[in-house]
Amino acid sequence: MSYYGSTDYSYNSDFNLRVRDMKKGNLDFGWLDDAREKVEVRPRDPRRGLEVSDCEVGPYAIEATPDIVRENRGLAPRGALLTLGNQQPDLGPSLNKKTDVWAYRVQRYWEEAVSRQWNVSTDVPWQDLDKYEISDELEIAFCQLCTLLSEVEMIATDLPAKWSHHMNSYFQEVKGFIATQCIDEARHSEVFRKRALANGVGLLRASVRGEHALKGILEADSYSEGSVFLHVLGEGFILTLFRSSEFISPSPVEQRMFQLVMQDEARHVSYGLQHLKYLMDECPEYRPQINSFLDEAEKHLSGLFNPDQLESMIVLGGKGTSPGCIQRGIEVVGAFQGKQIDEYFHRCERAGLPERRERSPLLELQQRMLAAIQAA
Amino acid sequence: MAYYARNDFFHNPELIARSVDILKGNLTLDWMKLDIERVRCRPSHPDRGLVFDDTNVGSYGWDRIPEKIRHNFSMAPRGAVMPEGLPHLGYDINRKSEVWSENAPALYEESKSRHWVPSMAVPWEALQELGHSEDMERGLAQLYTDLCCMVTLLEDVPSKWVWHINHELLELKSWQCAQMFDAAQLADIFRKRAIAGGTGLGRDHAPLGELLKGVLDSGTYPCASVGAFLLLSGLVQLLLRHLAAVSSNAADQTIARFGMQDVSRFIAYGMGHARYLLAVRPHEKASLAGHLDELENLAVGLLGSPLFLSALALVTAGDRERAAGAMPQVVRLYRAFADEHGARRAAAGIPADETPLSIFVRETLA
Repeated sequence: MSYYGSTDYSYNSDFNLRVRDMKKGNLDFGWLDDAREKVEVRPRDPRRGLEVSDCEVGPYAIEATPDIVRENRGLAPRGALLTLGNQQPDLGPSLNKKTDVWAYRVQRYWEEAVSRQWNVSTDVPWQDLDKYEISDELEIAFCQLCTLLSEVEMIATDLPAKWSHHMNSYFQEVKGFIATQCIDEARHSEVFRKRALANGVGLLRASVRGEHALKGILEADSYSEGSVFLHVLGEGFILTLFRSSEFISPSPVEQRMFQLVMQDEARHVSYGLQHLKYLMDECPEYRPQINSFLDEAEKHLSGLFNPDQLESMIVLGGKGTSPGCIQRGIEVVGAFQGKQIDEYFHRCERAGLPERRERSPLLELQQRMLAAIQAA
Repeated sequence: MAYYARNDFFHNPELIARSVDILKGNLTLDWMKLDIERVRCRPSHPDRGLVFDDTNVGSYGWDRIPEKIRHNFSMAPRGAVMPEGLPHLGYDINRKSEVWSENAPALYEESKSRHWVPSMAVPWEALQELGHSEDMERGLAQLYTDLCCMVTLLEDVPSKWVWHINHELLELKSWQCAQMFDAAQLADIFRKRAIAGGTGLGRDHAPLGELLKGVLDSGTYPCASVGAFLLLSGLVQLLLRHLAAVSSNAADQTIARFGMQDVSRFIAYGMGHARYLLAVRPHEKASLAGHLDELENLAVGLLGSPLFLSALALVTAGDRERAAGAMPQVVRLYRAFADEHGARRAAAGIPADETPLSIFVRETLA
């Protein structure tokens, strides 16, 4: 055990006497006289119920919280009365600046995530798999894609979890949103795993290059760096990949899967984008640090373009392995890859980092890919 | 940046050439010829859909996870073909018994299927007519504030440990994500309820903080697990049950009903994990018992703290004037907690005689 309470109550006669005294009815209700601001909160929109934004009043509002939370070192919710001075045990939160974690619209993302949970076991029409004829080579290709997606999705649980318990409890909406992301991504890993195991093939080959990118995400030095790598870059790329995968899905069952995961993924990307934007707006001095981090992160991400994934998507895109099919598949995948990079730059612009389009190493990769497609 | 791969893929001409070659139409398709175990997992029960249990087959199943995981430290999905060169992602919980519970996959499925949306499920309009005194409301708000702190801790415990756990234990990690989500949702709902009642949040207090710190700073995952999911979750369940009994307000009734349902899963996991651990490593019994004793000591500090005790007496009686008369009921409540917790300890295989909680109830509250 790392922490022993300051008092051993078994041998504390004062404590025992006090409890016996209270048991006789000598109770202290001094706390009822604590001065509290009376507030009235009601759902603004009855159809949506009581949302966290409805409770943004008086001392409970995030605006009432200083940019650096110094006074709360425990797990008190924002707006609670705090124990005076150093009597409050220190639970060691290390993300205490609002700019460390906050994002525009995070309260909305939290509520949306809670209301849009879905269930892999029942919301995917597994029973319909028998309705559609999928050739063995397409099934294998889809399982290779599912292997990669099941592999990479759980990074988006490990990274947020790594930082969530370090966040000051005053940032409850961010902690909550992070928790929704963890369950969303566990669900994504689950859906791709289950699909790979459901139709007569199984899981195929893991990706060495992809795993190095995951390690780069997990070992980011700060939450903001981890977030920009994970949410904006990584999940942004995966979101475009999902969209393309829906397009090349072998049957409506897989299309349904991608529709469901996309809505979650889009929310995660939006949070990352809004956190980056908030950070750039409030702490522009971090810009060089974020840019230099992204220079390296983008190189890591090229690991996601691994041959197995590329080939399996080409097979799926062209619906087979004949030369004609491969040619069609290359056109589909080439268009998607260009889009992946363009959308990423567009997101960076919206977050206040337009310079990525000029300085990103991904441009070089994109040019090489485009040249290859034209030559083919 | 903290991690730089040994191989700079971006500037590796061979790898770039390979990608370009593929886009020129030269595919190897070697992944199509991999020798893998072929399976066709389908829902065993149509109403439940395709649950994890249906995928517990062959090399893909959790039954094949060895006690000591030595073969995979990456995020490669269990059962996938693992090429050479997969990096180590830093997992340092690689022993199945350290975290596993046989009911974890089912609890994960249950958590998803019993999801509720608090902003919609709770009849918030019922709070416009509380049906109880302002003193009572302040007492409830104080207890909801305490509950908010407690479930925030129940969110932080899995968060602190899940990313240390080997990815072979996927279903367990997924369950921990479900715990984080359920706990975050409860924290949100308790805070909203305290604010929506009109008197606002109550006071943070040191005895509760001491207990929470004791659980969070547990040195090993099994110690954190018994602290969070046997002791603390048991207390949360007890408090919710009591709130449902003392408040006639429909909002409180709904919150308590859903909250108990969620936190019961935490307890089920805590029990299952302790049993599994002690079946595989019975010598851990002494360290778990010693740790739980320390945490029970901190729980005693909370139960005997003037603020917590008087808030409970107040909500039990309904107003401040009659609170002293409600003390016998509060003592009965504490006895119930000690009995239930003691029974869980014993059922999990952790010695439960003469623990700080049982002594407190037997002697101090005699």
